[in-house]
Parts: sequence; C-alpha cells; structure tokens
Amino acid sequence: MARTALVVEDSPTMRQLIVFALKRIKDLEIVEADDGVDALKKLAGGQKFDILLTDINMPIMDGLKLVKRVRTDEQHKAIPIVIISTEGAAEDRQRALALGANAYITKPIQAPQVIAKVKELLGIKD
Amino acid sequence: MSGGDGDDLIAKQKEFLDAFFKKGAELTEELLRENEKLRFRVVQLEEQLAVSPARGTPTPPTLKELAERIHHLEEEREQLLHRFSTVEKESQQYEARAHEIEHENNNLASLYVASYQLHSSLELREVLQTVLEILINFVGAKTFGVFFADDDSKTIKAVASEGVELAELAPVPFGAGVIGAAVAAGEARLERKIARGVPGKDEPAVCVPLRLSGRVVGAIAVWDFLGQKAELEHVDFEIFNLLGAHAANALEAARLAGGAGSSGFKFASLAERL
Repeated sequence: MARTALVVEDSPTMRQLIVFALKRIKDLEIVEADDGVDALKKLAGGQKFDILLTDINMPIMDGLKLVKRVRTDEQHKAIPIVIISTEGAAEDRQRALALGANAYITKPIQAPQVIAKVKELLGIKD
Repeated sequence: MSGGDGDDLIAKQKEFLDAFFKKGAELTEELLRENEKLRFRVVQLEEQLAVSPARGTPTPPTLKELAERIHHLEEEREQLLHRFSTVEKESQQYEARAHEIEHENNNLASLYVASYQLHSSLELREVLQTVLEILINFVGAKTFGVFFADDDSKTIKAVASEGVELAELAPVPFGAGVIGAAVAAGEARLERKIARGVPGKDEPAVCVPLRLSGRVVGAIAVWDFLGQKAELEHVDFEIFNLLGAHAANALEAARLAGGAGSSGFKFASLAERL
C-alpha cells in the first residue's frame, strides 16, 4: 500500500538528506515543502498525506506553528508528525510534543533513526 | 429288603458310577486339549522371542554393540554442536557486516548529498549558505566561521558565521593560532572528543584548511557543537575533509561564474560578491 510523506524543511541540503533516508522505505512517496505555509498549501491541495516531517526553524512559518495549524485542522489533525530540529533541549522537545507532535528527532540526523520512527508511526513492519 | 429293591439299588449305583467315570473322562479330555493349546502357545512365544538366525531376522544387539552405537551418536552430536556453533558465529559475523554496510551506506548518502548540494549552484551566496547548512545539519556544528586568507592584509578573515556575529570573528594574522597554522601549513585540527569553546576567548575545537588547486586559501573553524553532539564520528571527519577539498572549489567556481576575473583567487574579489 503506497503512502505519502510530506517533508517540510527550508534547507535544500537537509531536505535532500531526509528524502534520501525516506526513499529507503518501500512504497513511500515523498512530497517536499520549503516552509510551513508551503506545507499547508500542499495539505490543502487534496492529496492525502500519511505522515509529516518538519523542521522547527524555518522562515515564513516555523514548524511549531505548522504543528498547531495541522492539529486544529479537521481533515489533517490525525496525521502523525515528526519534528526534526537542531534544538536538543528537553524543553524544546516537550513544547513540540505538547503541541501535538508524535516524535522529536534532533539534528544531525541518523538515517536509521528517521526510518525507524517513520515506520513505527506508519505501522510498517519489516 | 426284597430282591426287587436290591436290583434297583445296584442299578442306581451303576448309573452313578457310569456318570462319574464319564465326567472324569470328559474332564481328562478337556485337560488334554487345554494342555495341547498351552504347548502350542509356548511354541509360538518361543518363536517370537528367540527368532532363529537361520531365518535372516536380526538378533538383539549385544551390550558392546549398544555401547558402540552410543559412542557413534555422541560423536555425531559433538559434530552437530560444533557445526551449529560455527553457523551461529558466521551468522553473527554476517549481521555485524550488514550493520557496517548499512552504516557505511548512510555515511555515503550524507557525503553524496553534501557533495551534490555543494556543487548544485553557481551563485556565491547560495554556495556559502550550503557550506553553513552542511556544517549545521550534517556535522552538528553550532558556533563556527568560514575564513579566507587576504594576502593584502596578511590576515585570515571570516566571510560567514553561525552562532556568533561575523563582526565578532576578528581577522587572524597569518601563522597565528590554530586558524593561522591551518592556513599556513595546511594542518587540520580534528579530534573525536568535542571541546566546547567561545570565539575570541578559546581556540577553535576543529579547524579544517580549505584548499583550492592544491593551495590553502582559507579555513573552517568550529568552536562549539550542538548539545546533543557527544563526539565527532568517522562520517564527520569525512564531511570536514569533503568541505576542505571542495568548498573553496565550489566558491571559486561561483565567483568566476559571477563575472569575476580569472586572475586567480583573491579575497577582495570573493568578499565584494558576498
């Protein structure tokens, strides 16, 4: 069963690294967005997304605002959200989880960690 | 007693005796038949228990044969256990190798993406931004600067920074400190253990010379890493080496593409385009 992930990251370099990791998950399609606003546009575009991975520090709309908006949106409020951030402090993690994120991964990322978390949230078993 | 009565009595006695002997004969015949049956059964059982070798059927194993069989089975068991242990060891080796390959694959992916992004633009600012992003996102650098040598002022000057204001990174005289040594002698400072320092106060924990056509033209200096970064790993060293070998080339390519003259790398020409 094909699923789709939305990767929201302003840094093309980082985005490509995340995409590279996610491409190793079978039947996972990946859509990229530059920031929170771009992500909301893509969510509103009618395409079904099964998981959302987002950075926090982004221009225009940051990742935390995006999480808030998604969780209050009737259509997408149940979508699993993974935060990928440079902020490693416990309070940053707690704030993101309190807003409704399902998981919090700190940079620099380890591909197996990202893959394992996405698979777990999508219920994909090896 | 009359004669008739006596005859009657004798007849009764004869009748009784006849019946008695007849019963006795019947009992004897029955005993004989039973005896015959039992003898037949004994013969059958004897045949079953002690089968004749002449008939080609196996004889019960002797104690010696049983001991040999046990010894043989024990040897087989030892061989199987040894084989099992070997296979288990091989399996563990394959698992460890698969893990190594997976790790190597991830490292190669990081290097590929970093290299690809570094050369994906010919716009000077974008290339410099990519260098910063690689340092932040791939290595986990937090406080750092990208420096280039200015032959005119004989100093090494910062052209980009993260975690510290650019103005706070004072020019470093040629040959001075870790950054000066990196540019003068092309010596990198790379240690697995992370030392956390502050620019202006401490020497950088990591310093990597930036090479262009075999000449050192600048350096990347890192004072601190993200809190979650415990130590530098093999892939981090590879990323630093990649930046050392490619960052200046990518910047120079962008500088030339931006209309700069081809008279060779000049700090002023780079700085004025940033």
